[in-house]
Amino acid sequence: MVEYWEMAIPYNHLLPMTRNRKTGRKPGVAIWYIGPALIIMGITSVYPVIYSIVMSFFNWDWGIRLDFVGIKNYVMYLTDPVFWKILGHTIYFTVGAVSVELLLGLALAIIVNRLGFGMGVIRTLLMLPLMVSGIIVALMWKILLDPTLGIVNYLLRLVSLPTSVWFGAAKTAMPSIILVDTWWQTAFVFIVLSAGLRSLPQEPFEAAEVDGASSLQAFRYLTLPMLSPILLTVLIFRTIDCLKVFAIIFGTTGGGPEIATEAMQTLAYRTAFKFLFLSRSMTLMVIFSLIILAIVLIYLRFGERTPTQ
Amino acid sequence: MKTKIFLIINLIIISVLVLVACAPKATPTPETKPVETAAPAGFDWKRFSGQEITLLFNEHPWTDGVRPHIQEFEDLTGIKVNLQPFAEDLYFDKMELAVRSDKPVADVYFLPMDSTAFTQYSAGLIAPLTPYLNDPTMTAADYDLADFPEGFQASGMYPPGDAKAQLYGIPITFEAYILFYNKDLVDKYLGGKIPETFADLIAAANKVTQEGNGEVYGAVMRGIRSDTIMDTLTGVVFNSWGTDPTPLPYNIWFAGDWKKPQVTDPRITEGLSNYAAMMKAGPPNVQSIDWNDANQLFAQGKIAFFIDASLFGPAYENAETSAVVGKVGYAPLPKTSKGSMTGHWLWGLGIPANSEKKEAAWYFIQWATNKENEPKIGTATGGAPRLSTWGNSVYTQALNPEYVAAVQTAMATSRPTAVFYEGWKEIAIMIVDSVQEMYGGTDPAQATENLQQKMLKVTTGQ
Repeated sequence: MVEYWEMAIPYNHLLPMTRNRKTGRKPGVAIWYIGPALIIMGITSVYPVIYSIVMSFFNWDWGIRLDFVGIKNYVMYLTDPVFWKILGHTIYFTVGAVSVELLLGLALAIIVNRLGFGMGVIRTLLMLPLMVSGIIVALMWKILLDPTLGIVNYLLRLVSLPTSVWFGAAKTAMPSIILVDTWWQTAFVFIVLSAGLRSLPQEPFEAAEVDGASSLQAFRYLTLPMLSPILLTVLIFRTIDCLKVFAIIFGTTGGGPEIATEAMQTLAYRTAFKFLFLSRSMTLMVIFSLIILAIVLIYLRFGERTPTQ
Repeated sequence: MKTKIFLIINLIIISVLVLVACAPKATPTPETKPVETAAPAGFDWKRFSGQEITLLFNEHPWTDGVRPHIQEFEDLTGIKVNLQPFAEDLYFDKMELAVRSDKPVADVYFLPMDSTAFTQYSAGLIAPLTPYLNDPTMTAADYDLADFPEGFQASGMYPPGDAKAQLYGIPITFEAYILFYNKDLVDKYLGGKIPETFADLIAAANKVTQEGNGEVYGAVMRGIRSDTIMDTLTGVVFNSWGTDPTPLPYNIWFAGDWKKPQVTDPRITEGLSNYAAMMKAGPPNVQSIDWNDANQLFAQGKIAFFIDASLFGPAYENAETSAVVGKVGYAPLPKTSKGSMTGHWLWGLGIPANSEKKEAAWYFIQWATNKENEPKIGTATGGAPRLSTWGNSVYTQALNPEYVAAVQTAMATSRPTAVFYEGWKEIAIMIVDSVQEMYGGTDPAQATENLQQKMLKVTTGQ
């Protein structure tokens, strides 16, 4: 039998027609549609990756000097306690921000889903921070949280609450950055989970209600398991995004005080554009990309084992 | 079979493209074309008429100063100017990319005359200006390079200390590190007494902070972990260093050899410690304060004492940007046991090696930095580098007399803060970390001993 789309192309006899072993479907014309995109994507993503890996074995000053150093850059970082400390900061930020954003976003999604009125307005309001660029968010919060000129400490003083130095001290800087990221990105979690909640089938909930299940039980045994694939997707997206944190740190603390908020991306930026050690920066990014890949694989493996029904 | 062939062809195409693109390319070596023309009777400003040059500038007061006069340059030379200004953070990245581009991006650019310029020189990215200065057909007879102090020129002469060194940048504005103080706060908290010594300054700043109840602070310094604080910091260390030489390329940080850091010298320890003490007398978030934050706090009347770039002075007398107009005092750094000394840092103009219009670019640099135009442009910065400009009434009458006196005094003892070492900024961050350690309570001698070991590790590669 000839498919309708095969008739649409006069030269379809030239197309590869090998059937997929699992689905039994022929790739047919589809490969011609996605081929150019695949080639462009391959070049634009494979090229930087290979280039970075190659250059990480050199000592390149972004000028005329290009010395092959083998794995020296890798050994230097992997044996440097400061590198591990900065990796720790990045993970601290990621765990903190993703946890708070997931819990807050899920809670908001459930509450707004049950409201039944004004959902459009609430969603729009919650989405506003998402529309602001990272560096603007950083500068805005830097001003708001300034201990001397900022309005937050002023308001806290008005109601006799303790103030903070926010970004200005090692102990409070990272929590402050997590706070800013939470303000900025919780809406993303909310939007995705909200859409997920609305797509859940109602029958199981009605059956549970008939059987006398409480709201908490319905959430624990119905909502959460059915939502878990979406939760996992959001978790992966937010984790990758938070591991790549740059703009908020760059715009507020610059990695300080001392190195309390230095993250992998700010370290790589500083190494490349301030110190002009391009190869070292690429080494950092290769190591960091492998770490991100490992974390995503762990998540995916965890997701495969988690029952969704 | 057809699928395999199709995939193999795709893979080959991708692999070839990737390999071609990955092949590392050396940056082209700078090339200065000799100019071969007969010397005219008068200087020929129209020689490159019809050309168009691109200026890659930092959004800096000097850029504000030159902007209204660019039409005069275009009328004089017939050269069209395309000005591309960028905010400072972005500018630095844009500049590093522009000078490394295979194709010309800019013909004149704002040149930080420190290790940045030296690193670009070492990488062959910047064109020498000496050939133009030595060519009477390219440089007007009244240009007078000697009017720029030798110390200023030294920041752009490479290789440093070499008899055949060439000049790679013309200074456009300098900043000496001086003391700004808020007269109202000094009157209110200190009975109007200006500290005479650095120890008095620290004590006075602490007194204001204690009595200010979080509303005002005695001092503010750049405290962020960034190489941007390094020049101000060096100025304060110079104040403890005294009159002993600070020879380039090593400056005070090395004893004539990159393998011999000397940060455990008691004078350096004292200087770094003084800086940390001023940070402690400042707002509690001082470790997240960069120059713009510190400048803003002082301009809003929240700070009694502020040590930083003289460049900030003129803006404090502008009611549009300052709440302390007419209330600011200007002074050289209060003396230590070694006297009152300071440092300076320069912005210059340079020509990227990849520019294809170097001659027209040099015409712009020459015009913007000659004796006629520098005083006009310099009023925007208060940091004109030509000696003659400080005797020019167009310039001095536009500035606060107390400011002029303080800067001129500072200039008399000022030395360059630059260090000409590739990768200097990595070491600069280590020095900044050392100050942060002192701020955090580490004993200054211990902090500089730690610093000495870290610097040795970098410079000896061990």
